[in-house]
Amino acid sequence: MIDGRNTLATIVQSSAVSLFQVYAIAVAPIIASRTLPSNLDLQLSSTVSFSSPVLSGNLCLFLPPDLAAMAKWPGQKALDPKDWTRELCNQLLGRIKNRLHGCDIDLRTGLPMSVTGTLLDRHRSGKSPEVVFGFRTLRGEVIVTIAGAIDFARIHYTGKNVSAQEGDVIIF
Amino acid sequence: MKKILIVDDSETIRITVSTTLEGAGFTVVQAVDGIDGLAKLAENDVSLIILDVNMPRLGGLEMLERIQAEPKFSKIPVVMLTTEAHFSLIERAKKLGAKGWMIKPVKPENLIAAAKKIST
Repeated sequence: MIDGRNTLATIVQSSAVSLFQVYAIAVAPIIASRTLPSNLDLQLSSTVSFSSPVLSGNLCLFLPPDLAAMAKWPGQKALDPKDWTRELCNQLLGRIKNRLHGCDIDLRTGLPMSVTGTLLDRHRSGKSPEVVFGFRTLRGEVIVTIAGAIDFARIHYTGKNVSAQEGDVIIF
Repeated sequence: MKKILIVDDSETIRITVSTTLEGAGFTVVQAVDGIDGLAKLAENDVSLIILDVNMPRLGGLEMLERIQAEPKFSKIPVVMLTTEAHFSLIERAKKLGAKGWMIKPVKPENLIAAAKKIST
């Protein structure tokens, strides 16, 4: 039987890899449960809350400051890196939420917030359990943390298909 | 030139959607949430509304309900643009009168095709 931790790790890692791919940024998962970078205030960071009977807490996203310059989007207009990070955090949780539908888990999600790394780290501290995911990029490491109440025993695939896919356009 | 209203609390989304649609010949008006969206709707004659779901102050589905309740606006097609993808929520939007549902991030060519197909 697949452990709930592994299922969550697979969901978070596949969600992050596919999301960054959209922005033409290659990310490679590295060992989980790494310590966070020491220079947090130099990181672009954002957080968003979520809740459900199985998982309830916060997702935090830390990006290297130069990563936004690598991203490709229509028109190549300059975007605010902080707002881009906030939107990435939103889209990352959206992907995780959509994949968790396959585990019969429906997250209620909050609105993402852009915050300083230090403040975010202080906000995270004391929440247990916390799972830390690292991703290597050409401009440094992307870190994703999930902290709060997590019932790993109830995270398992049921095979249900109750949601559409990212990028889908459905005309009624 | 057709005018489109994009309502999203993310500046990143507003800019990327505006850039894409302006490149295809549309004029785009931006609003930062549902309340701002209703105000911009009153000031502009738009052919399509692209609407986020989760926003502060007034969310997209609530704004959709208000649009449908107002005869002056109820004929304007609305397409939702969101990270939400659960079929039950999509069905709810359809029942409320939305004409489509797009899940972020959407490829520029698909966004343009949808705008051309749905705009009045």
